[in-house]
Amino acid sequence: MSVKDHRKTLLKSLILIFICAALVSAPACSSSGSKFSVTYTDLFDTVTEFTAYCSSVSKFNEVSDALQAELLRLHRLFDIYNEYDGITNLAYLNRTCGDSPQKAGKEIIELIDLGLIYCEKTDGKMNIFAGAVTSVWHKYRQSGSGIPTDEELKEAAKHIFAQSVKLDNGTVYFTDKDLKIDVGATAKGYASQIASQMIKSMGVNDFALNIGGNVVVSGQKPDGLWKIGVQDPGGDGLYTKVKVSDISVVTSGDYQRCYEYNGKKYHHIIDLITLYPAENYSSVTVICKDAAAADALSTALFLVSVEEGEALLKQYDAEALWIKSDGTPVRTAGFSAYE
Amino acid sequence: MNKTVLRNAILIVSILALSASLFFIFYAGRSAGISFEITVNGKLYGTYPLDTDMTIDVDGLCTVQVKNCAVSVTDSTCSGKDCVHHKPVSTAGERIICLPNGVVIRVLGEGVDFVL
Repeated sequence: MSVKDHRKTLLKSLILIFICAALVSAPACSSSGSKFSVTYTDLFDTVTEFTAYCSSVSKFNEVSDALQAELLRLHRLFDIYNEYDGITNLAYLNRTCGDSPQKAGKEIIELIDLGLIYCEKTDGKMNIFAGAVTSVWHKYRQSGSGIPTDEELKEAAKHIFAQSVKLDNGTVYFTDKDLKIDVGATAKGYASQIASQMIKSMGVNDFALNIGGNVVVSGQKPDGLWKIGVQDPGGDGLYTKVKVSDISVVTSGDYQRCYEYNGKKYHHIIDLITLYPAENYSSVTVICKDAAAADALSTALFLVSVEEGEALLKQYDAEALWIKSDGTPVRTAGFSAYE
Repeated sequence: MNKTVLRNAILIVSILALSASLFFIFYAGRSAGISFEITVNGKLYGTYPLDTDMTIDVDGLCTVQVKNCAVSVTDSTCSGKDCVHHKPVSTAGERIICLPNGVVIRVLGEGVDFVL
C-alpha cells in the first residue's frame, strides 16, 4: 500500500467516524434546537410553566416575553376579584352588568358564549354563571376555616341562572343584579389555546405549556412524545402517564384548591344540586385537540355521570380517565391508546 | 510502521475518545440520580439531590425537608399553608407550590414533563 493509498483510507475512516459521531449526538442536539424553560407564579392564581425547543436563547426570550404579556392581558381580562384601570374585565362586568348593558371585548363574549353552550349541554350542572355560590365557598376557602351555612348557600343559589344573562351585539346585561360570572372552569383552557396559537405564530412548534393543570403540547421533544403524568389521588406518585403531541391534557381533581375543616376536605368544584363540593370522582382527566374544550370538559365530567360524560366527549372527539372517589378507574378506549 | 501511520492512529484514537466522552456527557449525564430544584419567583434558587436527607431554608420564606428520598415543606410564612399540607413528592415532574411566596419545588429526572 502506497502512502497515497493510505491517506485515502485514512480519510475514508475519518469521514466514517465523523458520521458515526454525528449520528450519536443527533438526538441530543436535534434540528429543533435547545431546551429552555420558564415558570410564572403571578398568573391565573396558579403556576404556569413553559418549555420549548428553540434555536437560541434570544428566540426563547422573545417568545416567552410575548407569552407572559399575553397571559397577563388574559389574566386581567378574566379576573373576577380585581378591577384594573382602563380594562373592562369580568370583575367590572360582574359589578355593573346588573344595572345596565355593558360593552365587552371579544374574548369575554366568546367565553360567555361557550359558558352558555356548556350550561345547556349539562342541564345547568356545569354553570359559569354560578359565581354567587362559588364566591361563598371561595371566601371560606381563602380564610382556611369554616364552611358556609345552608342558608347562605341556598340564598346564593337563587342567582345562578343562565337565562338571566343577555348578550346583544357585544354587550352583556344581567336581568338578575346578584348574578356573577366565575370562569374558573374555562378561562385557563381558553387562555392556553390562545397562547399556544401565538407561540406557533412566532415560529416555535415544539413546546409544552402548563397553566395550572391545563397542558397544551405541540410537536415533539428530541427523544419523542411529551409525557404527562396523572397524580394518583389516593396515594403517592403517579396513577398513569400519557404520551402525547399536538393536543391538550387537563385534569380536574379534588386535591386541587381544597382545604380541610373538621377533618373533612372541601375542594373547589361545586355540585349545584347539593351546593357542596362534588363527591363522585377524585379526578377526571380529559385529552382533546381543543384546549378550551378540554378544560371545560374536565370540570363538566366531574359533575355528571360517566354515561353523560361519554356523550359529551363524543361531541368534542375527546377522551377521558375518571378516577372515582373509591379509587375505581374508568377510561375511554381512546384514552388507553395514549398510555 | 512509519511516522505518518502512527500519527494517524493517534488521531483516530483521540477522535474516538472525544466522541465517547461527548456521548457520556449527553446521555449518561441525563439519566443520573433524581434531584429536585427550587425556584423563587421563577428564578432558580438551587438544585439538590433527593437521596441525601437535609433541611433547606429558602430565603426565610419556607423550610424544605428531604427525607427518605422525598421532599416536603415543613414550614412556611404564607397564610394558607397549602404547601405545608402537600404530601411529600418524589416522582420526576411532581411539584409543591407555594403561590403566595412564589416558591416552586419540582422533582427533576427522567420521567414525565408535567404532573397533573
